[in-house]
Amino acid sequence: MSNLRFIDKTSASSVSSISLTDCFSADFDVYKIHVVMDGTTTNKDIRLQYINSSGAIDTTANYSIGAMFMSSYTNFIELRYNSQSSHLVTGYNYDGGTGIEYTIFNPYSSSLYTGLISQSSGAYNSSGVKMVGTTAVGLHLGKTSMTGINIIPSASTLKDIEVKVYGIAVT
Amino acid sequence: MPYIGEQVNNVKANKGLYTPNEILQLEKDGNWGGSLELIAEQNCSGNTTLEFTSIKEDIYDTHFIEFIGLESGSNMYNEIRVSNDGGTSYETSNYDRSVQYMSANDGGTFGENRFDGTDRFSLLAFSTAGSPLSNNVYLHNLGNPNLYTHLTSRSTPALTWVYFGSQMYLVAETINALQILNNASATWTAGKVRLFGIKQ
Repeated sequence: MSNLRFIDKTSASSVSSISLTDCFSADFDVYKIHVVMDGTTTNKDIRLQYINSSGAIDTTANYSIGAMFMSSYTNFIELRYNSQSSHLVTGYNYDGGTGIEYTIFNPYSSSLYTGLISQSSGAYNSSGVKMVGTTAVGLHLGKTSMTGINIIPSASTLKDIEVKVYGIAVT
Repeated sequence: MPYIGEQVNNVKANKGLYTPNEILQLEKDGNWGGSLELIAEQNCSGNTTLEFTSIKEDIYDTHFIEFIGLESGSNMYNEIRVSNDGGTSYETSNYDRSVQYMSANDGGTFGENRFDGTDRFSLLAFSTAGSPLSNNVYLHNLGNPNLYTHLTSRSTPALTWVYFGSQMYLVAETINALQILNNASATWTAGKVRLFGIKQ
């Protein structure tokens, strides 16, 4: 029996954001989130926000991330963003789609920062469709109990997206 | 009604009470137990390639592959090719790759390995003769005929190097078989490969 426990999922065909509420609780400290999606013909990065225990999307300037833009066609690029209203650049997306896996640590805790590790592979248009991956580490410096997530694109919309949340059981 | 302890798929930490019939039905529906389903496991010893030809791509949109302690008598790294015809043939073009490597040695370097259009997914993380090599791999959208296949991977340290990265097969089609191979065409002497589906 695996320790990966399905919690919830949601999907949408064309939206400006997609949320899953009440997926974090005191039952798990570590979560896996898998995202698969198609893409519109606009280059965009995929961003992650948390939803607090009041059900509101947290847009405080508490999101930090260090990421590597890893493309197949040009040199890798270091990306650093502090004091943002979301975790930027957790994936790139274009027509052809993207797959992302997030690992989130201690989101429900009100005494610890919420940690993030993510890895993605996505389509990106640069004189033709290429592959752009990201590997990122992030921290939300709010010490706020979070109960859900909200995923947004930097431009255009999210097309045919599915989000699934799992808890890592300690048993 | 028997008490069987905590129901393992529950989100909340309640104490489940289930009848035997309910348990049987949950098991039949695939909802009893964890969310990582072992689809197949193969031993590497004595083989130069492995093929997974029943991968349940119509059920799972995310797969997970564990490469566990693969060894050979050669320097090698592990690779994957995809098939759109159930394993009759394997695709040899349209793979993009970007992999970062990091050295744990004093004075060691970090660097990038990338290819724009190559003939397979290369997980890298070199293994010398007789030393084991392990990788974790996620594959997304294998069964979706409208999307490319996306891969992310991480390796355990090998020769003090760690590799992680992203790859993509740039043909929108259904992938229904996977081939595991290594760059040296070496015969493995140890190790196993496990293919999982992430339940949804």
